[in-house]
Amino acid sequence: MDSGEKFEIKIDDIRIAARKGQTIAESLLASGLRVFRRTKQNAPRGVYCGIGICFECRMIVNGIPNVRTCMTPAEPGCEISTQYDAAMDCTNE
Amino acid sequence: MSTRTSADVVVIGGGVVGTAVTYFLACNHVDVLLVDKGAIAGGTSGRCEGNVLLIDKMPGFDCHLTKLSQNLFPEISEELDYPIEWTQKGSLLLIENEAEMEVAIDFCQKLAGEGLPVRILDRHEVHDDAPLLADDVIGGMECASDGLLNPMALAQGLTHGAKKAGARIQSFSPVVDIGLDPNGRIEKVVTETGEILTRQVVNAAGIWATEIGKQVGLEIPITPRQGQLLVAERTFPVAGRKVMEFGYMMAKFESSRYKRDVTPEMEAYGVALVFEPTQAGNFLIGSSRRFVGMDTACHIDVLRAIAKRAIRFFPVIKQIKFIRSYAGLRPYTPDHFPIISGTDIPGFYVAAGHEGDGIGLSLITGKLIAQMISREPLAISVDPLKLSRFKDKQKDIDGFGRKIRN
Repeated sequence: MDSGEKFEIKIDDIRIAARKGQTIAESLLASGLRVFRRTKQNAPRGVYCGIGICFECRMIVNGIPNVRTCMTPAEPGCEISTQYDAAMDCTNE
Repeated sequence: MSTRTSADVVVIGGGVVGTAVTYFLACNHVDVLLVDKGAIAGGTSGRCEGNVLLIDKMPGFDCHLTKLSQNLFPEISEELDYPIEWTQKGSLLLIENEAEMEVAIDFCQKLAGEGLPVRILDRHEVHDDAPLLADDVIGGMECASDGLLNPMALAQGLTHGAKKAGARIQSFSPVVDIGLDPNGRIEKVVTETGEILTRQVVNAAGIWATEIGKQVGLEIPITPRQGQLLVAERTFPVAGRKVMEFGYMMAKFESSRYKRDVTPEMEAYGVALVFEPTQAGNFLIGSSRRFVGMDTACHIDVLRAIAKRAIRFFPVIKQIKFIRSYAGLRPYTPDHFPIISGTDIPGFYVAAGHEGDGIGLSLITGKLIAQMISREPLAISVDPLKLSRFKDKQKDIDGFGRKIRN
């Protein structure tokens, strides 16, 4: 994992390090971030299954809500936001 | 275990139509018992959309009947102590090209002449109304009074309301026979759970109404027509209200010269865009129309065609995940009108065959049948809806195998 090319991604207002080949979820966990989204009742949620089945790790990625971060590779310059509920007020237009 | 009871009226079918009939009868202080072979809203009413629309109705009787029904929804949603998720934000038809625009302008004028709150939206207005629309949509047509609701909740709400007014409900009681006395009058309804002595029966069994009719020797020309739908995840509002494509209306106008620019699959499956936001923040997309018997399975080819058609109008849908699909069987009649009617058998009524208009017409159907049974003046003449209208042409509709019209 340490061998991949290093770059930065943005999560809410902060920048964290990511490596080529990592998923967004891996980059976040490696940086100590565990809360990826909050439910309608404001309960914290993060990675659970890690293989795209449980949909718990959804975040807003480059403006698109409900993206499974455990299935999505980190790319240089990508912008990620914590998702609140179903991100009803979010459109990527 | 077998039970024996009696009722002044037995309603067969616990969908939106049967529950509405039961509700209005109970409100008229009629001793009514509803039976269904399964659960309330377990058939077509649990596998459809929640349309209460005037925008796709033909000027004249079609319009008048639907308007009477639509007018009942605001008060019923207040009256029922149950959240039926009624919203009245209007509906929008999308216009793809000048050929459609020409027909739409004429159609809109006719509906306006019926007193409906309809208008044409130009390019600017339609994109203002739905900012995520594909750029090349040239206009729209709106009906401001159209509304949406949750059909399963409507059936449940009407059931609760009917019970409160004294009705009895027997779910999971399939009707196996209807007994006639020597004079040919209704004597009893026999279910798998017991017998109900009664003189009056309302057949509101939808796609099963044909089978119920056979039990008293009546031919009821209803054929199941399948429609498939996709359910999207909860996400941002792609559009705030009901949206459909005008192109699908063109088929209603029998203008065979006009062909939509669609794939052969869309043509074959009768696919046209129907978009419906739900109160929970999901949305539904449809639609398809196929005669496939009692098959309620979804097929990936049909779903793909539905999704493609939706993406053509709302490209943003490409990024949204679909979490479920379902198919429902709509009770199709050869002339696309429901049957709301008495019959040659004294005391036997039919309230079925609403195809895609069952939700919208549920309340007026319930009201009309209750008025017939209580011998009150009818809210509207039901001559065009009589079962006997099919009799003279029985040969023409043999097997009901009219060509599938997309």
